[in-house]
Amino acid sequence: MTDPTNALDQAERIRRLQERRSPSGRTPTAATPRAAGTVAEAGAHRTAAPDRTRPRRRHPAAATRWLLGGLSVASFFTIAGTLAVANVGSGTAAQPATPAPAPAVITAPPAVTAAPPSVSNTSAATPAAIPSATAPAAPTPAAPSAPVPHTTTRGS
Amino acid sequence: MRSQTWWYVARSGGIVAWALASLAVIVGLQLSTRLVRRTQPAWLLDVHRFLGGFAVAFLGVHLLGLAVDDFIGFGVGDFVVPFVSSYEPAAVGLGVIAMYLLLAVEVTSLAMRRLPRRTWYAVHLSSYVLFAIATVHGLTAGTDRHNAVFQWACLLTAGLVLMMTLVRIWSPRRAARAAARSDAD
Repeated sequence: MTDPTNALDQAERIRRLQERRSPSGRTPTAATPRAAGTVAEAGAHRTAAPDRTRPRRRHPAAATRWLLGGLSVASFFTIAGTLAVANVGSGTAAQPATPAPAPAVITAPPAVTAAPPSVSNTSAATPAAIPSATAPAAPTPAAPSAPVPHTTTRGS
Repeated sequence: MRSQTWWYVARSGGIVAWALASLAVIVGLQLSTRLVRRTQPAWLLDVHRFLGGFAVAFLGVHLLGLAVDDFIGFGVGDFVVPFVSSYEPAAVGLGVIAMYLLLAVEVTSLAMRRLPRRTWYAVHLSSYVLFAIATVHGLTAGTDRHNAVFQWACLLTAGLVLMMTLVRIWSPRRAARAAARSDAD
């Protein structure tokens, strides 16, 4: 892996060539000077063709950039929405097991509702789904050998 | 705004940043291995650069979400100094190192023409380490580490990167170039 990247060099060279061969860049160097006839005219023409007429440089993968950018932003919102919906779903599913699920606030006083749920088949989902139930320092003597879920794994 | 919104922003931003960085690594490997022959180098390079830049942008979203979210309560030190966080210090520390590596790769790539090629290349090689560390960070620190979709995505991406890296190391073109160089010497 000590070889300098020739492939990258080549790609960079091709990219620059493609940029140079854009429609605005081709006119002064290739077509017009030969028609004009003299080197002086060609040079004059080359300097006379100002950059202000040159359109904005187009990237080789401009369309792909837009596509990937859109996909990234869309997936960002999709993931965030999915997490939110999953959390809401698990929260509503666990509601029957707990009397009053409070919103997750770390400064809340030690949850009074953190008593072990009476329904056994929903007890696995309850602590993760409702952060207030797992929250801080609930000095409940119940089940000392049970795994304590991390307080920061709130949400789904 | 709900109290958990920034938490979702941080999580989804981190996942998307990881996906974009992984894709950038894969496209970079494709650029050097030409595993798929019909792709144009200039197009690949442009996409590679765009993916790297966008990964940095979503890293910013990830950090913003963590900074604004008040549940974990990250401080400035947690963001800049590895392994000092009170929450999952090892996993978060890996994330901090991955952040530095991503920034180093991006900055040296932006300043590529002003840097010696060897320096740029040495820093760019750390992308492999960056990918590995970022993946481990996601699988250890992330709340979504138990998500099967995320686990499978990590597994498949890591397998693809590993395969392309091996192809790159042992590709015939490289062997031919090395032989030609030794002949020239």
